[in-house]
Amino acid sequence: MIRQDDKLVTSASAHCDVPCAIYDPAPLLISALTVVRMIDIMEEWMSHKPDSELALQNALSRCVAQKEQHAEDVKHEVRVIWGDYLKAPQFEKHPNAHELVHNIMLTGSKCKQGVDRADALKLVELCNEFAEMFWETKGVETKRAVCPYKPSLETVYPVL
Amino acid sequence: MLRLFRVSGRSMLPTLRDGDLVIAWRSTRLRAGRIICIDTTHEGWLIKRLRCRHPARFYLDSDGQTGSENLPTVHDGDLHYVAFIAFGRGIRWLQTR
Repeated sequence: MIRQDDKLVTSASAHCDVPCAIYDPAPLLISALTVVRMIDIMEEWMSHKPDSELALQNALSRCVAQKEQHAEDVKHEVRVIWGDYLKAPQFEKHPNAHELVHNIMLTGSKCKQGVDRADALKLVELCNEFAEMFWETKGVETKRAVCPYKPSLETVYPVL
Repeated sequence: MLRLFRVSGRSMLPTLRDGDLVIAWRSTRLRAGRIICIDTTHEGWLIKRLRCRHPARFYLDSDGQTGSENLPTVHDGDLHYVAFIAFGRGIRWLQTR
């Protein structure tokens, strides 16, 4: 009987996840924008007199939970594209890809830890750069436009 | 020269299942439609089906997946093994497709 670890047998990879081959940075951009939006909503709540302390705490708790989740979603989506889609040819063409991904991880964590809007804006910009890099590997042009909803920030879109 | 490979992963479903064993012979002549095992620089040994996009350009594809954007292209003369028989659900001849 031939065992898995026998030297006679070479393992040949036929790996892929589902496989679906669907990759798109749109979800991570929406999540990054949501992080900014949650911080803005929290600031709005703090700037006007709430009906009650309990109502304020409830609203802030919900925003914090969403901020936490969407910052984590950014990190997850970026990891999937980085780990599953990007390969040696793309890394050769974009040698800063690893550093960019690492910066997104660090900034995403900062956004989870605090409520500094500057960190959230930095996360959006890093995600924009990541999206531009991704679409470039697909040979798809991109444009930057202000998203048609709050927080009304410049976002990368593919020109299809 | 014959070589024995064990399939790891599910991208070649329904033709090959995770854990199937295949016997392959060594070759340098690429023939589109065959399942081949090839030693790639970055991903080690891959088992995929060979497609012909152009008379002079071959690429690898998965039976269970459309598109092959992340798989390396291969060239005539590249050392590879052509899989021709599989074990796992009985013994099966692997057909050209």
